[in-house]
Amino acid sequence: MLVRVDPGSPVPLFEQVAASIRRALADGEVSPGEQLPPGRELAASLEINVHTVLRAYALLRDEGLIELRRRRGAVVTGGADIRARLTALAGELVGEARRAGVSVEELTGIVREQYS
Amino acid sequence: MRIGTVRPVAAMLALPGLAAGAGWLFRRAWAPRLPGSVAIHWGPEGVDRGADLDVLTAWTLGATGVLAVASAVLAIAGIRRGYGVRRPVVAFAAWLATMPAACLIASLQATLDVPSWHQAAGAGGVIAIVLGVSGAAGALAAVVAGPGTAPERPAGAAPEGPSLGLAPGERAAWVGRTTNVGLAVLLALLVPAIALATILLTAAGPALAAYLAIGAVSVLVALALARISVVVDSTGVTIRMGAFGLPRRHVPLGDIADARVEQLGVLSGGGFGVRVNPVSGYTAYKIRTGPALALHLRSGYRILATVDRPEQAAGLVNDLVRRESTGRA
Repeated sequence: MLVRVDPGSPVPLFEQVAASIRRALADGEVSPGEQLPPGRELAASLEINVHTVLRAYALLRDEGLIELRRRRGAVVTGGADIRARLTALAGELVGEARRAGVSVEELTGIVREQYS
Repeated sequence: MRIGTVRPVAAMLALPGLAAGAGWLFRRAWAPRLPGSVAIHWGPEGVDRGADLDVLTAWTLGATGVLAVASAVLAIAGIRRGYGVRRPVVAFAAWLATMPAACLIASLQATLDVPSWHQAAGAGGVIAIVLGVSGAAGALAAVVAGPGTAPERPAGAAPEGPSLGLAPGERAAWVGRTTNVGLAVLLALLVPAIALATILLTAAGPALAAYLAIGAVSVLVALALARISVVVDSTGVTIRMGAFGLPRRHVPLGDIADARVEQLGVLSGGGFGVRVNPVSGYTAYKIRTGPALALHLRSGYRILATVDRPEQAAGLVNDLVRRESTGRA
């Protein structure tokens, strides 16, 4: 699993960390049930604050991609690869909609139409 | 001739030479106290073969001389061609060349003050002398040889392996692992199964305590071989093995010349586990076959670790090495 962060980028560091892990999950590099590296180790490797990594993990937990357990740390949930791909695609979709000036209501309308 | 050549070659010639000289001096000094033939071979029932003293002296000292000169010639040729000569190789060559001379000294000592080789002393002293003299020669050769001569390599050459295209200022870490549950289960069950079969078939196998010890050791070995994890970051590459993370190996970025992906077969490196070849400078942390991250060090050594998806790891190592070498230049 490759985690890349660019301190010069306007995107917050925790979102960059989360995006890297999301990509690894979507590509199946980390399979369900596997542990992510402890936050402290990953933070040391990337030379960033441990809270930044933990914030990224919390974001991924809220997206349903990982579970945070007291003893075992961050564990990848079942079906995380599909959810990660959907989250990444939704991120692209929202970005495109913002650039085009499409509101949330309009976008959800488009998605609803696609579903029916 | 460079200083890096003189020391290893001197060690390869001088230590066997000293041992041969000592053998010849003992032969002269002890001549009145020795029978015409000395003991040269020991079997389960003690000494079982002797040889003519003069013939044995000529053969053993000759063999030491030939081995010493041959290893020195090979070492010089190796250094000239840029292969270098490593310290363990020098120690091994000196140890091997000293062996015949050490055998002569041991034979003389065992047959000292007896009327015939049939009454020679037991094999214990002989083994101690042979291993002691040759081992001491090998160890001294390692000291005399110094660090040895590394293979020639263009200094600071940029790595040629794969790249991830890391942008300037961008930070990256790669975390990977491989688990081999099958190998662990096999190890944990196979050895106790053999021990159990021994008990059942012979009815006189190991005692229960020994059986439990065998079981415990195989479970520990299985846990140690179940997993390899690798971390690549700006400090270098860290390889950890097994459930306990030991053995652990950290390779600083500055030591790495290039990273590649290599395919390992069942017999690559000679099996599974930590495979070390001090002569070629090859270390492999191997718990399965297939793709492995291969680090080529500036010293000419190679370190391999079987880890899943090593392409990204190799790319990141090369990008970090490139960045560090341009940062220093």
